[in-house]
Amino acid sequence: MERRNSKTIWIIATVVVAALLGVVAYVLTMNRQTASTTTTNTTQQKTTEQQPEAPAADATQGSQAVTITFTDEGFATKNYTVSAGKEVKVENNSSMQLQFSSDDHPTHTEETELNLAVLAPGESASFTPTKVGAWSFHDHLHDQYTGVLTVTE
Amino acid sequence: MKDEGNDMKTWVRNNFSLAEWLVGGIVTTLAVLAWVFGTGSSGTLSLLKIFPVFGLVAFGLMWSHYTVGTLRRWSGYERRGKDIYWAVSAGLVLALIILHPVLLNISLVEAGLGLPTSSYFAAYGNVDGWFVVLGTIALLVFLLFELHRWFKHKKWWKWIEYAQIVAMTAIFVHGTWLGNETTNSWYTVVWWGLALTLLFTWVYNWRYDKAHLPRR
Repeated sequence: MERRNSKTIWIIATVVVAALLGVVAYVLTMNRQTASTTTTNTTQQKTTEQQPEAPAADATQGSQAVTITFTDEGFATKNYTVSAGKEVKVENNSSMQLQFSSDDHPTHTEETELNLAVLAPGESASFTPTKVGAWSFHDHLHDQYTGVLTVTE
Repeated sequence: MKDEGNDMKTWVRNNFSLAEWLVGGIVTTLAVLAWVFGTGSSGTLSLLKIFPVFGLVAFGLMWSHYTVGTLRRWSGYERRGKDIYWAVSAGLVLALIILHPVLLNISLVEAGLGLPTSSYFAAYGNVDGWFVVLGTIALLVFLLFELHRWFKHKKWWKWIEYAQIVAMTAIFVHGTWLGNETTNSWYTVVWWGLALTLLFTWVYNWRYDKAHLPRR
């Protein structure tokens, strides 16, 4: 009886640990795929830039410069859209310091163009995103405050 | 009122296995749900987004060990044969408490922040970095408990058990300071509820040991 119990325990434990490792492997694989898609997007953008004779239809489309406002309750809006090459202004209208950063917390490596220095209350800073994609961001100092910046062509 | 208490004791005694799986299942589900609707749902899934849930579940399962142990003493349940819940959840806790920092460290190394402990300070800053170090120290204390297979009958083993309580407290502080779900969601109530019941189980067990066990 005890031997059977032991066997059951080992089977359950093995299945659980295998499932955990499976999740980790899946996420690692997905990340690699996302990274390769991002590289492809960037390459395509560079190709477009190298071919000025191609119709520049999307240069007039997409959003104009945007302002991301940070308040004591977090980012005023969660989702922003801007065209690549347009300016994004980040305003700290809160009473605390803000360190606007790309995901993931705390490494900020998803899209490093988004990473800004610490902004004191009342300060603002700008950056110009060039890479197309949906980039999640957060305040590094209060990482519960998050948002998404979608950069279109 | 007294009859109700006795009825409950009888129910727990008669359904002890179900009770421990229920306790563990509920606490695990709550932790996973908090993560799914919190960190897990923001942006692209990555190791840095996954590793917190391992810590949350591990803390919940360790809490369940104290709670189930207290339930056993309170109800007067006497186990016959092996405790499958304890064995499975202990194995799971071991896997989770190892995976939690390993995934973080893989991400920090991949981001070019180097190895711990300097990577902790580089990523989290001078204050928060110390709370990551606190978690690492607690992890080492938890791993010490694995030596119980060989040393649990030694006189000094009680100090390792006391150290587990200090480590649980350290992990609570670590999670409260650094965690997102533990401070900014409905799970905050659960988190503090776990801490309070944990405190209750420690007091209960201390009084129980004093009354029932010979002095060590």
